[in-house]
Amino acid sequence: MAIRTYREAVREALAQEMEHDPRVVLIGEDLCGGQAGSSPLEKNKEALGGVLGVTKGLWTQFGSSRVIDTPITESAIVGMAAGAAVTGLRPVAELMFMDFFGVCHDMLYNQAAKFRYMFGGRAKTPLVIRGMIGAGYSAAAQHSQSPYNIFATTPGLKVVVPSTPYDIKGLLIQSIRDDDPVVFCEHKALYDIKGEVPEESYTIPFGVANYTREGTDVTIIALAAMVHKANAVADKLAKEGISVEVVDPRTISPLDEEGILESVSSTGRVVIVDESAARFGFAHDVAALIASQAFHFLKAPIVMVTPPHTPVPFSPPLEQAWIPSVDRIEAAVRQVMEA
Amino acid sequence: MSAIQGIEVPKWGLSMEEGTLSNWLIAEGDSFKAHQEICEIETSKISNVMEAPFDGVLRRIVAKPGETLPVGGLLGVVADASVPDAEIDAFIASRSQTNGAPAPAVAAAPSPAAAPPASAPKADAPAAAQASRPSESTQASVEPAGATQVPQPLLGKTDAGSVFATPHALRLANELGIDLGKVNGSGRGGRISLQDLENAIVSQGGRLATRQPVRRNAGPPRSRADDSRIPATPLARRLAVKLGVNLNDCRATGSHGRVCQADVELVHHARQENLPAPQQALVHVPDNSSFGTQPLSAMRRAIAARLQESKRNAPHYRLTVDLDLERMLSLRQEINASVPGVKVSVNDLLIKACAQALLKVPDVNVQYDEASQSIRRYADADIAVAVALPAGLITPIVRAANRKSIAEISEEMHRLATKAKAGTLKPDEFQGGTFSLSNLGMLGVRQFDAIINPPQAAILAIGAGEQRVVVHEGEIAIRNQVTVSLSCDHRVIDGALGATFLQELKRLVQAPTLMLA
Amino acid sequence: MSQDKQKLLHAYRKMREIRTFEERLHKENTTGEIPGFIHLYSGEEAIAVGVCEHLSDQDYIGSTHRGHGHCIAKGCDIRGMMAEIFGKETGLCRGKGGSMHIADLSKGMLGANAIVGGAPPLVIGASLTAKTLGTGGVGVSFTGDGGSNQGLVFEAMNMAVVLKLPTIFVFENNGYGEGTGHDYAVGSRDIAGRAAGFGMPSVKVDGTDFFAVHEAVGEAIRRAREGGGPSAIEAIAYRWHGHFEGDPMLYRADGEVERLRAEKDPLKIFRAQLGKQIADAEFDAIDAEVEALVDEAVAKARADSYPPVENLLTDVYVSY
Repeated sequence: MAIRTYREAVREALAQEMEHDPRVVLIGEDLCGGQAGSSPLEKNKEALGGVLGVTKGLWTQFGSSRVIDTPITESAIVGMAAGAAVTGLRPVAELMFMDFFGVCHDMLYNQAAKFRYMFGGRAKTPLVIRGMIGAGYSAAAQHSQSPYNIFATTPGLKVVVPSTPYDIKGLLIQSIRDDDPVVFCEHKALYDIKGEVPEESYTIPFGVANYTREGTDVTIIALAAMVHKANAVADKLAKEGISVEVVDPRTISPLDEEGILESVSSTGRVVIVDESAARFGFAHDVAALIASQAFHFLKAPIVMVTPPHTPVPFSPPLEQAWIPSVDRIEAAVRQVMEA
Repeated sequence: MSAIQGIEVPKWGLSMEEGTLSNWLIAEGDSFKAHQEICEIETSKISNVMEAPFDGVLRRIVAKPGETLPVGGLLGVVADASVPDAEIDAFIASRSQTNGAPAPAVAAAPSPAAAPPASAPKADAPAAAQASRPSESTQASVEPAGATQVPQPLLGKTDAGSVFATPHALRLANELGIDLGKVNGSGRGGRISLQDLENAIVSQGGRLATRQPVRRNAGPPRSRADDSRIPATPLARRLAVKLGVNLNDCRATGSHGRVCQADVELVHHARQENLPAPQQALVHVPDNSSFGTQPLSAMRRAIAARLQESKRNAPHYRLTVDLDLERMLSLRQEINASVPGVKVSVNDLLIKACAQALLKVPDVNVQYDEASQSIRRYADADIAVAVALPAGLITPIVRAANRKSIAEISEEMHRLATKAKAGTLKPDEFQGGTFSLSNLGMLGVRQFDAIINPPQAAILAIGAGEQRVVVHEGEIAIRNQVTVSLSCDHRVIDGALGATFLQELKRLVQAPTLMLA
Repeated sequence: MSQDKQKLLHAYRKMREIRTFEERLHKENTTGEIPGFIHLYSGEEAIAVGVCEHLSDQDYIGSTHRGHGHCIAKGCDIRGMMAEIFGKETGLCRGKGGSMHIADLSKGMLGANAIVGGAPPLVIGASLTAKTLGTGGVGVSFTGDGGSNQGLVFEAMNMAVVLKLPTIFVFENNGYGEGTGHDYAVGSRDIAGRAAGFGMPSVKVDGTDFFAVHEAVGEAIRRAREGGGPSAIEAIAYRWHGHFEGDPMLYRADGEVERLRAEKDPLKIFRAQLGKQIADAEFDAIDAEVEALVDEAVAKARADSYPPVENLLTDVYVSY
């Protein structure tokens, strides 16, 4: 198995699916970059390859009929991708920063998400919306959010939040092959993490949680960057004899209820770490699931570790205080152990 | 197989939750063979002899006669004579938590046979049996109460690469030596969950370890964190030290977000209320009492619970009619005179009449399933008949009475009543039923109302057959009559429907040859 | 019968189907048997039919909340449409969409759309599919004067120009966006001119005149099929009914609707234009056939059963 970064795993998944299926097209801003720029250099034709370089090289490989650079026009990007999906393409549209869903949500929320149901099952909408989530880069209030909880409230959408290079490749290929619209959230803090990734194409089914640590005392449920923090806490506390199980649901819609409830019913103590929201977020939904389905196994109240109910701040110390930290997760584990 | 094994309270029938050991048939030190009768156990409905599940030597009797234990509770310990007593003691100690659990807590735990729906999670036994302190978790390797027994066909080794299962299902399968390839998955994409694995064990004849619900610490929280920086009024801080209250546990309703005196007192009072009451208070009996105290028997408790539930949940109403018995009495005389060996009672004839009337008015021949808010309709009339016993009462059932002859009903009723009095009815002889009869006529009662036996929806209370002065065909006459009262559950049987049933019953009783048609 | 005459009679039949369907719904709606909102297209028939007579099943259209006319013109089954509007299982969307979401992808009908301005972004997607897969198809979006003010319509027009997509943006200017006049709400008062500002050929035509619409759209579609990129057409017509059935139309002048029915009826205009070639009797025969077809559709829709409640949970990912 090769060692790949999270970023490379995304690119590899896109390239392999584009080779595998001519109906797969990429739509977004600066996927290539440099169109009609004034640089005389041939190599600068592909000036960006995505703002963080995720799609670098794909335009050169597949050309502008498959890697479609658009104006800055999110409504038209998502709308065109939805219309193309329902008429026979398998588009992967990029929103760049997931925060931008705010300017184009109608095409996802009222249109793509509803086609299959509203048309009596006689339409399919194989659409992927990629976008970056996550705080930590002083990108401030409009480029740092993790609104996956908002997508997951909409029936008809599937929502993927991967944490490792292995997961992101398998889940992206699965998303492209899925016949429903999928919102695919890439955490920007993870693009440079490395991990083993098979070179061949493979899929990971939706709704199957990954246990990144197995343990018997406490269950931590976490997504994306928070999984790595939870792992760090688990490894630290293992030395003290506290055995932590870390559950990474990987997709929140569908959600692996069984995987979560079985872990919780074996440990009886739960910490949920969530970067989405202080209220009405992923953590709250999972807490409600556990309280309604596994209450009798709980030995302590569920503890949620979320950001405060504020926009993401700009200044680094403020931003670090906003993001759920290893220290807060550790304190939460100790709290459920005390109860 | 471990060298030490427990003999446990078996589960006889779906609703059995506990059993009372009435008598040991073997003594400590006796060796026994599988299927040998070893003790007698009484449940809320029956008493029965328990057969040994395996060969062995009874080393220790744990449950004394009269003791009531939950299903799976430890009755005795079996081990080879060479096993030292200390190990037997340790085994019993490891099991004592289960045996000591009060009956209500056990009743609340999901029983494996009445498995909850697939979405309800279950802990695997070793995890559930673990003590709550993590430092003790490594010791929790003792066999839990009612250890899981895996049916032979499931045994094997799971090929983790080829099965699609949840991590906990895989883990339990490995612990129990089960091949998950032999278990069907019901999850998304056919994934095998822990629940699927447990269902497979039960459905193939195995059993599951009894699981313990978490014992919740009901008291208010007690923090141990440093509270020196919690803003508080000086008085509140002094009081907190005095009362041993941590300021982290207090609300802060004072000015400037400070904890004030009232906040500290609130926490202190909450703790006082949560202290367990002294033991004596619960069992205190005045010395000069003029009564004797007798705990309720299992059967009495079952009757109390069931009829209380019925009275509380089912809106009862009653309909009363007088039936003329003259022609039925002649029919009875004829049958008894002409069929050798048969002695039909009026009650037997009324069972038959009710069965035929139920066929004619099938909307009364129903059960009401409260949980699903639905009505179960039955093609046959299974008539439950109340039989009084010294310790209570039981309702053996004449199944499909509509298809049986009067002589068959009479014979069956005789057999069931005999078994009821001996306490040897099997569960399928008294569970279910679509309609009940209760007859107090032999005790001279003229008329009474009965309480419905749920999930049935109606019961007929039969008074004494007696000679009454009545107007018959325009003349004053003396005739044998009986008064019967039908109690109906108004949720499923309306007044006119109940009345229609009685009308049909009256027609059959007063022209009994119609019953034979 | 000549090829031309056959085509003309087909166009007339489609317009008559729309008229009869809508007028019948206007009547049936008062019985209380039709759930939800309906928005009628009477008065604008020449636009839908003038456009769709050029299209085949591999060409896609995206419609509006006032979509019955577009559906019929694009070839959707009238019985399936009526059943859908009645909320029956036999409807084109099995009773899950209703009047505002009738769709039939097999006919290239991407759906009526209850979000004003919703169709253009989706239609450029259908155009992208046609271009990418080389099917030779085009996409046509229908948008009202009200929808023409939505930002995402502008985005769609710009994108279509940038990517040279085979798209025709048809703006049906019927004078009112809900209850607000076009003269108030469209700042430039000139939708065609605004579309031209995005860099595409754009014309304004009389939307009550089938031939005017048919000719303008024909040219736009030919350009699109030849790789010449998108075009826009503003067609002026008149809505006879309210924004929705039940709208008291207080915003109209006295006698406005009566005047429109007398002077701006696309079917009367069509018959008058062809008075010399086609006898009244031929038109009347079509009218009678259509009347019978709509009668049958209503009777069938009324008799059909509602979807079983189990269907609530199908056609979408539900279980979490």
